[in-house]
Order: sequence, then C-alpha cells, then structure tokens
Amino acid sequence: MAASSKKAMDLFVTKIPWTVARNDLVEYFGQFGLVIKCRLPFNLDTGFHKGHCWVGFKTEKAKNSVLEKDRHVLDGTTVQIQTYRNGKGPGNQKSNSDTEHD
Amino acid sequence: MPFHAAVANMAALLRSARLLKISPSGLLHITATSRNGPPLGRLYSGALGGSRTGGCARLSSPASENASSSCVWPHAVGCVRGYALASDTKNTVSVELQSKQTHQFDWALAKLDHSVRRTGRITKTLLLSVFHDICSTGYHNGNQALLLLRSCGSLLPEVPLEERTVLVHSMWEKLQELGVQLDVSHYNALLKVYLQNEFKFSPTDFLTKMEAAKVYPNRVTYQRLIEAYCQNGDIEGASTILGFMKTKGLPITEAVFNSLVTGHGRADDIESAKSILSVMQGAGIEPGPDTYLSLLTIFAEKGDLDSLEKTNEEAESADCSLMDRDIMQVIFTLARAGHQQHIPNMVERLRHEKRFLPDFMNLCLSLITQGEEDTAFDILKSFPTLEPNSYNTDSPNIGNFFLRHCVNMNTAVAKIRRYCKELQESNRHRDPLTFSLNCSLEAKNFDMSLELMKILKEQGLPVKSHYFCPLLSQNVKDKNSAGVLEVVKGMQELSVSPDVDTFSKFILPAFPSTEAARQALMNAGIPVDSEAFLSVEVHSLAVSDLGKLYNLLSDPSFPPLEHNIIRHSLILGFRKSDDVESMAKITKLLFQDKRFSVSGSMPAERASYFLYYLFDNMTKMDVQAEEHKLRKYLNRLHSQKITIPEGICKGITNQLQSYNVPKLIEDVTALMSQGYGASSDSLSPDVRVAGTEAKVARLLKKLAKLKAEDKPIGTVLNNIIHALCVEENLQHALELKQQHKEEIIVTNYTSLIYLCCRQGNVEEALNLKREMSCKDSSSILDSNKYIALVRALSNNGRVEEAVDILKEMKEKEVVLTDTHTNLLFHTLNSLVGKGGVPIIRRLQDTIFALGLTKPSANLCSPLITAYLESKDLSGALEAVIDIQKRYNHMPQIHNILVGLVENGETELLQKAIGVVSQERGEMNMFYGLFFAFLQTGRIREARKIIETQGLRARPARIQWFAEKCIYANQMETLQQMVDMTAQLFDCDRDEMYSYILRLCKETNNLEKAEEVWTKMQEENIIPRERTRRMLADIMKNNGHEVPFEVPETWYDQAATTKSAVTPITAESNTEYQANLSSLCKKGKAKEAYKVLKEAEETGLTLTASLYDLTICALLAQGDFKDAMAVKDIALSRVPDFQLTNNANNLLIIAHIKKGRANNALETLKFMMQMGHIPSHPAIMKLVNALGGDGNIAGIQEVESLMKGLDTTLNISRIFVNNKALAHIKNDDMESAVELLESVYTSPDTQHNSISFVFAKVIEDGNDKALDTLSAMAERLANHFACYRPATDLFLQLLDMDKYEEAKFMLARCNALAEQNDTLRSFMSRKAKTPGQVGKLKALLSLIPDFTNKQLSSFYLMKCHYLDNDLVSAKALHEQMQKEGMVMDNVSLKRLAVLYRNAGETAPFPEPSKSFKFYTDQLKGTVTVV
Repeated sequence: MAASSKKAMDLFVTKIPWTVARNDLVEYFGQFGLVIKCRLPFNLDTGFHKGHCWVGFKTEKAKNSVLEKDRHVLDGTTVQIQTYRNGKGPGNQKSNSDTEHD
Repeated sequence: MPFHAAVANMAALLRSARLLKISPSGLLHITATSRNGPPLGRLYSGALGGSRTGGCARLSSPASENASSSCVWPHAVGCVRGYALASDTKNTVSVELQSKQTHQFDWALAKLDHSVRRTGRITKTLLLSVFHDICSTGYHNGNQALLLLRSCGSLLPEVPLEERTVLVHSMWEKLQELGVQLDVSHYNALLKVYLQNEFKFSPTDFLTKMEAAKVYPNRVTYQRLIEAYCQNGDIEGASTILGFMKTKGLPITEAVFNSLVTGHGRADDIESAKSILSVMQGAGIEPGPDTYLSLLTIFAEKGDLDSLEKTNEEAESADCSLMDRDIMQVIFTLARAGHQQHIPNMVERLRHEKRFLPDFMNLCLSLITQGEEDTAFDILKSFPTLEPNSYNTDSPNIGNFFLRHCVNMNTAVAKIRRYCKELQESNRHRDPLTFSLNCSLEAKNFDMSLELMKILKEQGLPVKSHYFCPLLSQNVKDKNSAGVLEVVKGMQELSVSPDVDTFSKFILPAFPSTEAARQALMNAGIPVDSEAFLSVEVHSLAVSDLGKLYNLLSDPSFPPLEHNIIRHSLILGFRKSDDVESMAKITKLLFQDKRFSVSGSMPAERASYFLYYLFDNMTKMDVQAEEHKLRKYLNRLHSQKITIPEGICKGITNQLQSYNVPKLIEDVTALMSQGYGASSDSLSPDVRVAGTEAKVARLLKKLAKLKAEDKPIGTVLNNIIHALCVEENLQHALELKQQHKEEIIVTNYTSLIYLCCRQGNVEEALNLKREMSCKDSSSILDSNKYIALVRALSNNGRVEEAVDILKEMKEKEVVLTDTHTNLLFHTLNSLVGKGGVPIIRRLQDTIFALGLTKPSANLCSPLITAYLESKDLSGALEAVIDIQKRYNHMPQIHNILVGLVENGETELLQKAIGVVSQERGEMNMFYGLFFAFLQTGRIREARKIIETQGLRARPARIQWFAEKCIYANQMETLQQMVDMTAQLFDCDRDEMYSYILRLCKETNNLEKAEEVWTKMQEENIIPRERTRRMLADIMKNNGHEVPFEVPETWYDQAATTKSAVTPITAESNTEYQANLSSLCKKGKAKEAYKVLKEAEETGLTLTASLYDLTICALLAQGDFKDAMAVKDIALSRVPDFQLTNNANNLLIIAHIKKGRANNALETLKFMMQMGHIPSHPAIMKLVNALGGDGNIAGIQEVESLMKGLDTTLNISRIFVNNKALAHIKNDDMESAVELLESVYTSPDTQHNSISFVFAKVIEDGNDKALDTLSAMAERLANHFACYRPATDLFLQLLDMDKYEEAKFMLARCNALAEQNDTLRSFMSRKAKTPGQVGKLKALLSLIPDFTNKQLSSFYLMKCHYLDNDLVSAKALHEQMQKEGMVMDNVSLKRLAVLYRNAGETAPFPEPSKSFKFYTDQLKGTVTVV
C-alpha cells in the first residue's frame, strides 16, 4: 500500500525538447512542490534523451497543482503531462461514444 | 533535370503503381508523363498484357480485407477467446502469410507515397529502409522493383548525383539477384534515372544489355536514349536513333523535339536549336512549355540574359507561359553554370504559387547539394509563406529543412552562422542556431557541433552537458576512450562540466574501470572533483565494493558531498552487499562527518532520513528475505551508539508494521533517541468503503450517520452530489449544496455547473460559478464545462456573457482539443435554428480572434448554415468570401451553389464561381458546379460541365460526393454521376460502380446491383475483388446464386491462369521458377515440393527466395518434415542460405502445432540473433504454448528477448497472463497470485484484462485454482480498490453461462456493479456476434443500472438483429413503447429490416437514410450532451 500511494504522485511528461536537461526539469517542476524523483532516460545509441520523463512529487498536492496548470512550456515547447492512477491510466479513458455505438 | 516535373512524375508513378493493381484502365497513367503519348497498348504490349502482372495487380485490397476479418482482428483487439480460435483454424497460417505479404507492399508503398505527396521527395534513409524490408521479407515483385528504381533520381534532392546512380545500380543488381523479372518498364525507369542523375553512359551498350536480357525496347526507351545523346550534345547519335524510330514507324513526339533543342544547344549550335521550333511546326506539333523551357535552359547555361528575356516573351505570346516550376529549373541551371548575377531577375518572375512549395524546398535542397547554398538561401528568403501565420501557435521555424541540409552537407560554420542570424532577425525562426546544433549532433559532426556551441555560448545561450552526449555515444559504444577524452576536452573548452548522466552513461563506460577513468581524466587535465563525477564514482564503488567506498569517503582529501546526492547509490549498494561491517562504518560517517550534510544542518538528523529511505526502498519481500542482514546492520549501528529521532523512527516502524518482522522492528526501536512503544494507527476502513456505495439513499444515510458522529463528511458528500448529477437531479443536489456549503469542494461546483448548463438553467450556473470563485479564486472549469456554459448562455440570448466566458477561457489558458473544437461546432450549430446569424458571427469571430482554436471549415460552417436557413443566399455568399479572405476556408460552398442554382440566381452564381475559381482553381470550380447541378437535378448542365475539355478525375472530390449520396440514400443522383463520368479522363470506373453497389448493399437493392453488373461488363471493366464480393454478398443476401466465381485469394486466379500458360514439364529455369512460385502461392505445397525435387534432380539451382517460398508453403500446411528437406536442399545449393523472417515465423508456429514449444523457442532465439523480427502471432502462440506447458523460464526468456525490440505491440499482458497460467499449471498458486497481485497493485502498468487466465482455468475445470484466483480478485477489489480482475472474473463467469456463480460473486463484491466502462464494453463486445443475447440479459438482470435503458435497448436490439429474431425484437419495441421511451433510429431501422426479412411490413415507416447516417447521428447526440 505504501508503495502504491507513493507512485500515485508520479507524472509522466512527454514531448520534452532535446535541449532540456534533467536539472531543468527538476527546477521547473520544483516550483510546484518537492520533486523526489525525476527520470529522463537517454537513448544510448543516439545520445539524445528520449523526450519523456517521470517526475515524482512528495505530495499529491504538488502533483495536482502541476495538473491544474493548463500549459507547461519548456524551452519554448509545450510539453504534455499525463498522470498514473489505479486503473485510470491515460490509455484507459476511452471515450464513451466508442463503446456505446459501433 | 532535377526539378522538371519531379512531383508530377512521381505522383504519377505512385498513382500508376497503385492503379496497376486495380484495372487495366489504370495502366494509362504510367505514360502520363509525356504530354501527348500514343495509345498505351503499344507501350506495354508484352509484359503487362500477361496475366502475371494482373496477379500482382490484384495484390492489395482484397487480402487486407482478409486481414481485418479473419486474422489480425482478434489479436489486435485483444479478444482473448480469439487465441484459441486462431490456432484451431487450419487455414490461419496461410492467411497470415498472405496478409503480411500484402501488408508489406502496401506499407512500403504508402510510406513512399506519403513522403512524395507531402514533400515531393524521398529521403535516402526511407528509401533504403523500404528497400531493405522488401528484400528481407522475401516477397517482391515487378511493381515494387519499379517503385524502387524510379525513386533513385530527382526524388532524392538531398543526395549527390553520383551517389544516386551508385544506389540505383546496387538496387538493380540486388533485384536481379532476388530473381525479380525486370521488363522494359524497369529498363525505361533506369534510363530516366540516368538522365535525372546526368550519368554518362553508352546508349549502345545499354541497348546491347537489354537485348542480352531479351527485353525489347519500346518508344519510351528510344525517346530517352535520344535525350541521353542530346544531354551530351551528340546530335549524330541522337539522329541515328531518330532514324531508327522512323523506320519502325514510331511517332516522333514533342519530347523528342525538346531533346533535340537541348542537343543542339549543348553542341553550341544555338541557331539550329532555335530552328527546331519551326521544324516542329512543320511536323504539325506546336512547341509547348517544355520546348521553351529547353530553349531557356540553353540560354541559362550560356548566361545570356537578353535571350532569356526574349524567349520568355515569346513563350508568353505563344500562350505557353511558364510556371514557377519551369522558372525554378532555369534558376537551377543558372546557379550551376555560375551565372548567379542573373538569378534575382528570374526570382522576380516567380509567382510563389502555394502548390509549388515542395518544389521550392527541393530546389533549395538540390542547390545545397550542389554547393550553391547562397543561392538556395536567397530563394528561401523569397519563400511566400513567410508572413508570420497568425493561426499557428507554435514558434516560427521556417528554414529547418534548409539548415538541416546545410549541416548534413557540412557547409562552413561561418555561413551557417550568417543564415541563422538572418533567419532569426527576420523573425522566421525562433532559435535557428540551436536547431542547427541539433542537426549537427544528429549527424554526430564533432567539429561543427563544437563550433556551433561556441557560437551559442558567445551569444549567451546555454550550452548544457547533455548536448555532448550524441558526440560521446558512438565512442562509448566502440570503447574508444581517446575519443571520449577528446569530447570531454571540448566540453572543458566551453567550460561545461559533465553532469551525472553524462558521466555515468556516456563517459565512464568507455573505460575499463572508474579508477582508470579517474586517472585518464586527471592525466588529460580534467578536474575530477565535481559533484557529478564524485557521485558517479561513489555509485560505481557502492555497487561493487563497499570497503573501497568507505576508504574513498573517509579519506580526508575527499571533498564535501551532500549525502542526498549519493543516497540512492548507497541504498543500492547496501542492498546488494553483505558487507555489514562497511555498511555500518559508512552509515556512521554519514551521521558524524559534516562533509556529507548540508552546511548548517545537523548531520545526525539528516542521516536518519537515510535509514528511512533505505527501508522505504524495500518491499515486504525484500525486508523478509534480508531480515537477518538488516538486523545485524542495525545491531552494529546500535553498538556504535547511533540514535535516530523519534519521528523518523516511527516512520520506519510504520513501514515495517505489516511485514511481519517483529524482531526487526524491535531493533529499529532500539535506535530511537527516547523510548517509544510502537503503536499502529491504521486507517479507518470506512473511508474506503464509502466510495463503493452508489445508491444515493444509502449515501444519504451514511451522511446522516457521519454527521451525527461529528466525523468529516467531505467524501460522502462529494459522492452524493456526483451521483445526483448523474441522475440529473439538480434540485436535490442544490439543496444539499446549500446545507453543506462549507464542505462543498470545487469539483462539486463544476459538476453542478455542468448540470445547470445541460438543463438550461443559466442563472443558477452563473451563481454557482461566482460562488466557486469566491471559495477558491484559482479554480477554473475544464474546457467541456466552459463550452457548455457558452452554449447555455448563447442559447438563452445572453451573447455578451457568452463572449465574456470565451475571453475568460483565453485568460485562464484553457486548452482545447479536437473534441472540444467539435463541441464548439455543435454549440454554434445549435444556434442556427434560432435565426442566429449575428450571434453565431459574434461568437465565431471571438473564438478566432482570441485564438482559442484554429479556424476550420467545420467551425465556420454554422454561420453559413444560418444564412442558408434564413434563405439569405447573398448573405451566405458574402460570408463565405469573407471567411475565405480571413481564414482561407470555404465552408458549405456546395450548399450555397446548390441554393443559387435552385433559385436561378445567375448573377450571384457567376460571382460565386468566380471566387471559387480564383481561390481554389478552375478544376475545383468545375467540380463544384458539377455537383451543384447534379444535386439539383439539372442533368444537362451537369453533363456539359463534366465534358469540359481538359477536365480530369479528382478521386477525392468524386468520393466526397458519392459518400454524400450514399449517406443520404440518393441513388438516382449517384447513378447520374457514375454515368456522366464514363468518359472522364483518369476516372477509376471500378471505384465508381462500387459506390453504387455500396448503396445497393445498404438498401439491399438486388435489382440495381444486377443492373450494375451488366453495365460493368458493357463498359469492359475488370472489377476489383472487393467489388465482386460486394456484388456476391448482395446476391447471397437475397437468396440468389452468384453467377461468377468469387476468388478466395488474390493469387488463386493468377496462379490458375499462369499454370495454364506454363505446363509442368517446363524446361527452362525461369519457367520452373514461375511455375513453382505460382504453386506455392496457390497453396499447393505438395506439388510445389514435387516440382522442386524435379528441379533438384535435373541439377538446377533455384533462387534463394524460391526455396524460401516453398518452405513457407510447406510449413503453412504443417508439413514440417518436407520443409526441412527443402531447407537441406537449399543449403546444398546456396551455401549461405538463410530462412527469411516469414519462414522463421512459420517455423515457430509449426513447432508449436507439433507441441514442441522448446524447439520453437530455439528458433525464436536464432532468428533474433539474425536480426529478424518475429511476428506478433508467432510470439503469442509461443507464449501461450509455454504457458500451457508451465514453462516459466521459457516465458521469461521470450519476454527478455522482446524487451530489446522497439515493438509497438502491447504484449506485456500476454506475458503476465501466461506466466500466471504456467504457475497454475505447475500447481504453484502462490506464485501465480503474487505475480498478478504485483501487477495490479503497481500503478505504472495499465490494468489489462486477465479474462484469458480465468477462461483457461474454468475450461480446465481447475476449481482449486479458480477459488484461489477468485479470492485474490476479491481481495484486490476490497483492499486495493482495484476492480479489474474481479470484473473480469465476473464477466467470464457470465460468458460461460455460470449465472449462479456470477450472482454470488456480485453479492460478495458489490462494487462490481459500478465498473460501468468494463461492463459496457462487455455488452458492446457481446453484441457483435450472434447468439449472445442471453448473456446480455443475464448481465442486465444482475446489474440493471450500470447503463441507461436507452443504451441497453440499443444493444439488445442489435443482438436480436444479429440473431434475426423478429419476435424478441418486437417485444422489445413494445416494452419500450409501454415505458414511454423513444427508440433511436438505428434500432428502428434494424427492427424494420427484421420485419422485411420476415416478409412482413413494419407498422412504422422505415427510417430512410443509411445505417451510417443514423449511427453518426447517434454519436453526435452523445458528444453534444
């Protein structure tokens, strides 16, 4: 239980421009609350990062205040933010019209 | 000739390739490049007339239908039951094979096609990857070969000319090796590429080669050879061929004369060149634009500006004015001939038409490739779309392609710098330098990257450590430490110190050890005391040797380093190591040494957190497994008198509470500074349970109870309001809100506001909104609710307030997605009926002015609709013109034209077509008018329009109108269009008739369908398979016998005709091959094997691909032994023979069918080593088989193999499910449960279905396992609020008709009733196959209210419809009528069809439009609400 409630404060950030470094992310998201995790994986072949990262906050509040802001711009580019919650991952929110009428 | 008609050529090429597979009429387009070509039969007499190409021709569409219906679908959708089904079907493998083959071709084609359509060019990487794929899949044919060869010329502007020729040659050789039959079309394509690449070759040798290959040149061949001679100024050579053509009686076309103009010019005989024009006229051919272009090119080469201008005038006066594309050609020639001074003169002449934009870009790219980047830059600056686009919210980035190519061509940095400066200053690009750096890094160009970074730094822009990683990556891979050091020195030069990631991933791995790295860096004069380096060093020691780490850390020379930075490394190291001694020593260091904590803070307190994190990092299992070690460690700390503060200690013990490790807890408590007994204070379970009770009444009771006990009521209140909103019970919800104002939270307000908007209660919505912002000024509504508010306000005539809301949306930066834009459209559209022109206009203008969303034709259309509704045609026209001017859209122009035609408004109509013609081109205007006349039944006028000289088919426009007719059930209009377009140039007749058939199928109109069939024969159309199927379906539906053969597979036909042509006893190698391959494709593996053995006996060596094909065919029929025999033969004939991707996949499946999962696994490993990628079905079957065998290790192996692949398939579910099954098979329930629990409690994964596991267990009758799993599912549901497994089980029980068990399960776990999405998707899935109505009814009887009545009756009706059960359908209808519900049109239409099928007349009028129309309508209402 401890583990799952902790992970609930994770955000998944995509479309990060190549110029942004891990530290920039920590600094940017730090303004919403304490960042306890920030993983920005690199592609070892190309040497560029993969353009997405996981940011973990200490508190749910910090996470929510990130989500409340509509646009997050890093180095002139709008990044996309997704959340992870039990069973309600971003891929799970299929629109109802799909299932209702086919 | 790089630009000359490049796009047109390629589009035609691709179109022809696509049409080729369709019908012979499509063949016309191969020659569409020449302006007045002769009838086509002559050109393609031999090769294409044969039935072989006909076979390839049919390659595409039908098989992909198969793919979607019988093979790919069940897997892709993830319908678990599909797995079992698929492996039972005998035919599956061959279907897979066939669909894959088709898929490959389509895919390659689509990729290249897309590239060319979008940009008029292809990148070398794309071309090579398509080439590689076509080769490695083992399936290739003449069409693909043609496509590849034709792509090696001017479609590669980024590749130097010589390189392109090398490329085409290597492809040619490879294709020959693969056994592709190269015919005259291929030779002609090769010639064209030679010409485009200015490759010097001997035409006589070329002809000799063709002759040797027994390929006979045709007119196109001669024409191109003449062009080749002329390119070199060799008039004599050209004349020889010309004479030859004349003796053969081949027509001399304009293209030949144009070549001669060039030829004379190149031979420095300008006068003769000019005189060709009069010779042409003498021969009855008027000089065309291309002729003038040839002349212009000559003058451009000479740099003769006067003559250029004169020729231009002449061309214009001869009504051959030049297009931008032609002028670009002249510019290119000028630049290459070194006459740059005349270029501005030509640039002025450019009209910058939008459609030539790709050509402009390609001109720039070619110029850069030729080293004329300055000229290219001048062209770039003259680009037309450079005005900042106000609708484009992204920052400007014009010139990306230019910069990228400059970098790739290694242009001097000083130049790039200048370009960047100008681009940025002219506001064309936000950050061109950084972009150039990106390109240079991608190209791994070290010197350029370094110089660019220096410039960045000079300009005060950041240069970050990770910018260097691309430069390091290759060196690291090669373990080239010298190379790495060089880059690091470069970093130092720019005073950038590597960060942790750079050190750990891109620097240190190049060295044998951290020590070696430290030494090498020091030797190179690079400081090693940076935080980043130290933490990486600590990390590497922590995970390898804690003793050494202690020595390093305790060394007094070690600089200060906050322990937070190395915390993670330490924890990792501690968990790996058993060296408790060092662990304790290091911990003590953290507690006592000030170097390891932030200055000013107490080391002891900070270090205590380290312990907390250490435990925090471990799971229950970890702690239990390592309890012994941990206790030893803690005791050691205790003996060193280390204490930790109470709070932190409590935190740790809380974590350990549930782990069942009392001794360990005691040890932790012993470290606490003051004595403190651990007490647990667990969460009250009520909080969790509360959310599971859905019924409002029960919630209310709960609320009362909580209030009485003076407990917080927030959650319950929230749930009630939510439930009330769903019930649309506004009154009650508002009352509750009033009673509990203090506890109400923002989300309640938003639900309430939304509800008010839906019910049109604007006043209340605004009140609530005001209240909400009082409560929390930062709160904002989401986009849906804002739009609902706008809608409610504007529908109540409160436009200005609606506008204010829109402004507020802008202020609060509300993001609008496509769905929201759609909602906006519906909002505007809802105002139409209320005569709302001014209102709509006001809202529309505000939306666009604020930039809330980009203007689209869709969003602009309600305004026009409003004008049309109020019969104000001139107003509508004015509005459209205005919208066109401002937003470049022409919404509803068709309806306006229709209106004008209907009302005979000649003057306005004139104006309208003038505008359309000016803005969208003449062709579109004609089509617009044509459709308007058709729509209004003015047949004579329509016919006149479509017969306009020069009009050609626009498939997209025609399709649009046809769909419109089908949609609205307008058979007559559709029929008229099809008839009228019979003579239309480039019209795909099969496609046209298929539209009629589609409508026939919708309306079940047999008579019409038969009429179409006769008509098609009359018109001599060879229908595509899809068309035939449609026809056959209609006939079968009406109980008619189908009077023709419906081919099962595309190759059947081809193979039959083929074998008739070539008897089995064929002697020559090629005929053997053709025969063999047709047998294989036909599925006659045994016969193919016989033929192959025959060939073997006569000592013939076949091509590798043919062996492979035979193996595939044998494997597809499960004939493993013979397949291996063929493999042995192949190995003896072709020493380096390898199975292709396909064959390997089939081999895996064959192994599995024989029950040899282990052999299959070996094959998989082998093929992955070879770099092949296994197919999805192969992997699934393998994993399923391994799961059935209980082979955990095997599954894990496959999983780890797959990890290396960048596969887009979501297959993690298969692994989890099968691992669980394997555990169950091994009777290890505990592991199975553990695995599933870990998956479902981990928040990172999506919660996929595990119905598969349940289904298998129930099928096997393994009650013990089922009980355990069911307990697990309920536990997950009750303790972790994770309902997916329980829901899956519940539905699986229902699906297997175990109603009672399902009922009990529901009783135990009533939260299942709230898994609406899953339940609904079960319902919609079940309603797709006949005979499932019982399950639906069972579900509905157990959980009546997971969905509204409307929806459940929709699906029930669908079931009855599929079951052809009129009685039940009637009952359902009556039931609904009794309950006062209105049946939706789709269901009504279904009911009507049932009546009709039963030969009864429905007691109500059948909805007249198509199913699709009503389905869309239904969807529309869903999105609107």
